[in-house]
Amino acid sequence: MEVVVTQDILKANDSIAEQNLAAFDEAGVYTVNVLGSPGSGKTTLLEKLAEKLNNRVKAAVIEGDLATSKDAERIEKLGWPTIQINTGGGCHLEANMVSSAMKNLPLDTSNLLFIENVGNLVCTASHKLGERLRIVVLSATEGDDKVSKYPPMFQKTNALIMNKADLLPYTDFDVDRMEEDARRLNPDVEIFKVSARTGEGIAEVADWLVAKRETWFASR
Amino acid sequence: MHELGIVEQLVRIAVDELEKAGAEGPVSSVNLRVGVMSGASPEALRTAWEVVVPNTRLKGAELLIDEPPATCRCLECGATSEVDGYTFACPSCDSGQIAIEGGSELQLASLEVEDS
Ligand SMILES: Nc1nc2c(ncn2[C@@H]2O[C@H](COP(=O)(O)OP(=O)(O)O)[C@@H](O)[C@H]2O)c(=O)[nH]1
Ligand SMILES: [Mg+2]
Ligand SMILES: [Zn+2]
Repeated sequence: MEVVVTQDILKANDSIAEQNLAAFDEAGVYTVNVLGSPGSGKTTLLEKLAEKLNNRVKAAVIEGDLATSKDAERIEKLGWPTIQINTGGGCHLEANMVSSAMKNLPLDTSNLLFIENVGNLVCTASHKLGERLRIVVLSATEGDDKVSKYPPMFQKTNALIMNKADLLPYTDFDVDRMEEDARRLNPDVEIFKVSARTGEGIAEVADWLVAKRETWFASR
Repeated sequence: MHELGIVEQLVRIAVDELEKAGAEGPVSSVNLRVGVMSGASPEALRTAWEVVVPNTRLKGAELLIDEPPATCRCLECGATSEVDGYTFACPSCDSGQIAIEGGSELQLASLEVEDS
């Protein structure tokens, strides 16, 4: 006998992600999943964004990390409420981890939540957390071919932040090629060229985030 | 990698569905659909299967994996085609204006159950 199922295997995660999304909407918190390889500059980007965002939004952060609390300590210095999730070696955050973590965040006094995912270009792409927006940080030292090698990651993101622009002169990273690949996969993707070291391009990212949040808030 | 977790979820869904269908016999095969853009590796799934499944309701079942290709719809000429490698241009008219549609499936398609 054949039992026809046709069920998404990650449906349990997807449905928790939907509950998270509803809870964030209810609390008026716009949630951003920050993705990218280890070392691409996700934490440094958040540190730089804080300078531009601090009197415009009330941000909070969930830091996903394999084992340490180093990134959470860096973010706490910004004055943003921060919760650390240790995945204990797990390669991606899951929606249920976020639903437990959010109970310990002051959602009622926040309106923007960054979730820094575990550094990974593969399975973080297929695990929704309850976010409204995804951004992928890709640094100049990783190579411009990463977009076409990890298509699901770049297909599902709202923005591609090309970081470490200050290092471009020392690499063979071809920004045009990266842009072309990204737009083929994802015609609506926003592309920013930034340096979280020098601050180049950070204001544009901050303005875009604030505008996205406002549009969402007005349409709720 | 996280394929162990995927196989555990898969077993959970399968057990539920078998119960719903009132199927009590041994499961002879499990059909998965794992798109080439799903982010899961069939090889790693097979390894995880060997680890997880012997202690479950699915023990003895064969794992059959269908790997649907990524497909794209051309926004210029309208053709739907298989994405050729990772080049991402319409094979009909070479336009780069395409929408990727298939290939991200990660699904339990069906179970084959013997009579009990
Ligand atoms: N030169 C340069 N280094 C950067 C830039 N952004 C981050 N880094 C460095 O890259 C390393 C990894 O950054 P981090 O933010 O911890 O990466 P994460 O693992 O993605 O969170 C650190 O040593 C940063 O100082 C940048 O724009 N330019
Ligand atoms: Mg970090
Ligand atoms: Zn994973």
